[in-house]
Amino acid sequence: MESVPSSGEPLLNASRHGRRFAPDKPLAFFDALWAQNVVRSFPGDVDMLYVDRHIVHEGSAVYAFDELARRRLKVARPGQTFGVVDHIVPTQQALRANPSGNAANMIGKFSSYCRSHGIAVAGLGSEHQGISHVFGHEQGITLPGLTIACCDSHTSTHGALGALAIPIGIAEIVQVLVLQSIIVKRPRVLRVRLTGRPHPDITAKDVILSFIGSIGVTGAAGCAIEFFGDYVDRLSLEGRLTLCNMAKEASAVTAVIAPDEKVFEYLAGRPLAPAPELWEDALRSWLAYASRAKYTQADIEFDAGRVEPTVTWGTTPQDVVPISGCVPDPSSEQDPSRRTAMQRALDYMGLVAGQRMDSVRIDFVFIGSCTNARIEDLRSAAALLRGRRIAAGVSGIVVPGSSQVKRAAEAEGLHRVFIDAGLEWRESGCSLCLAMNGDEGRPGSRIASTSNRNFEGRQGHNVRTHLLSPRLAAAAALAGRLSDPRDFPS
Amino acid sequence: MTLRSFEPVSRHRGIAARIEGDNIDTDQIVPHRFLAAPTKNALQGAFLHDWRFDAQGAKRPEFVLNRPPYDQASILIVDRNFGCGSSREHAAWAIVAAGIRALLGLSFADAFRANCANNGIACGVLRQEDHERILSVVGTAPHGALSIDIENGRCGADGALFVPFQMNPFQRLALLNGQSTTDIALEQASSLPEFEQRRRQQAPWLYPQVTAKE
Repeated sequence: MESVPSSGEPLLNASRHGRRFAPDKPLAFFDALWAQNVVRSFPGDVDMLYVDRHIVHEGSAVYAFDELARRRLKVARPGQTFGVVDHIVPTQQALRANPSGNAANMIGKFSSYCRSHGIAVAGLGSEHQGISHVFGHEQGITLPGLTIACCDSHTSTHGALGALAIPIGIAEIVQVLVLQSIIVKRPRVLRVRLTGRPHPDITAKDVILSFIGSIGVTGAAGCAIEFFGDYVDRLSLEGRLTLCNMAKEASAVTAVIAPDEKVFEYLAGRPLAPAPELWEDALRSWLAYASRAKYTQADIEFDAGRVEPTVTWGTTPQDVVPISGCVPDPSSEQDPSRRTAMQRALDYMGLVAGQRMDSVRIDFVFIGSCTNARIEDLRSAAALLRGRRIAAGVSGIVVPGSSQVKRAAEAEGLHRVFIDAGLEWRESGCSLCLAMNGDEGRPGSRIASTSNRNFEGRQGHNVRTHLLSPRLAAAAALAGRLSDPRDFPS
Repeated sequence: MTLRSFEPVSRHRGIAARIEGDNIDTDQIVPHRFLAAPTKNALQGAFLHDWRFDAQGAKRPEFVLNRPPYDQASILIVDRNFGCGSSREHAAWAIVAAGIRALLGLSFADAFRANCANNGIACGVLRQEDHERILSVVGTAPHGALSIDIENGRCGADGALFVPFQMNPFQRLALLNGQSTTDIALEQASSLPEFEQRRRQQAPWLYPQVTAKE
């Protein structure tokens, strides 16, 4: 146990590499990643980590740049800092060409600051623009073995490439900009083995929702989840990104998956991936990381093979149920505070205990967000929608995860499938996930959403959010109610 | 010279109000329409806005923070996983703007707690039995006043500081020194150049642009 300095003693007397690991437990891949990046250790399991690469976005960085200006500090490593606009950008073409109000202010200020500090920005008109956690891997900014920081809780997404992904707050952006380092409490590793082979219509989104339902919204508190197992091995990189993204909803600090051939092939040739002359060296280093992640034991075993198409019924991501199931009954819940919370959720969501999930009518569909708006997600939804029209009374938007995803989707004709079905095809941004950019649900409406949070009011005043996969979002749009995608052969 | 972001915090006495419910997320604490606030000092009225005010902007009379003496509360007693969800630091700013100086609860979301610490707000973790004790103390103390001793990790009604609470030792010391982690890191700046040099030798492919700019 580490000794704690008494009050008043300065924190400067910190030990270097004072981290001791339990000798009987082999070093997890995550622990090894962490240890190699420690610059200095502090009491209370807190370390200063070096930040190899830093993604900044307009929703948070402007405050940090203001603080930098106030303190007269400079950005230390502009070459290791990558700017992108996503949180408040309009997704409608006309508004995007001519943003106004808050969007114009934040984007304008952000772009101006980045320019003055020599930070490259993928701005509104840029072909590289996208949601931070899509932009990062697309551009090869995120790589195995490096530390990547971003002021957003879903920074965990980048862990799918075997990176040490660190979510930071706004005050901490200043630290990273000025010192290219971050002081952060070291999480415990939670090794989660995912096994089994579910039905093809069941995706990583269903699996991770089901997993969060089983461990609860605080099930991974204080932890970095390391996903592994035969299900993960078979899963595409995009599926792994969804797993790591949603890990945050179980209160995980971050998530990581050891890199493999799928990751290396994905990265080859990307703009910020290793240059050809350095590729072999990088690959050798990455393979060394991958070899560390061979585990015989897991902290949690989860059978992905038994997962059904899954939706949320309530107002936290743990409130999940199979599409074939029913709204649970609070009165059968033992814990009184949980019972009260469930009843409150039912009241907010306008649902009745025992009601079949596939009877729940929806008004709107949102296919988007850093969780599920990559090309495979769009293909998955389009495959169901092809040649069909969405139900009367339903509307929706499809917001690609990045401008690059948008172009790829258009090259495959996916946008025509969405438009012909009756959905709107938009430009890339965070959009309705957090509804900061003007895309917002009508008060009281019910939205089938491929995003990551279903909290009260998040998508608009009194808006009811049901989280689900792009496949289920397509099924819901067609049926006008939550539905099993297997009822609609593609 | 010690860098500081806020006044050192060691003790506080104030009215404590209970906010009941587990998993109160930051979308409740500060709704998305406040996220474009021009500065961190522009969040007056944002804290738990939709719980305090109705759709027309009128105060909800039944909500605890709208009822005396709790409308003067500077300490909040909360339940489990307070501040979960989005890591928006606006949540901490809204709490500062609302005049809240400390929170005591069964548990807090990590990012929320770190953001609070960086803004001079203490989040103390109470064990179940101590949480119940504090609620009964607040109920009987004059005007629901509570005293908090951050240095020694204790709270209670005026003279009787008998209920312990936990804080991460690093966060406790940072609060006592009036420092955010950025202030502390700026003091540690000298450790970095050596580390960076080793890192660049280990992974040269990470820094193609850097050599040109340095």
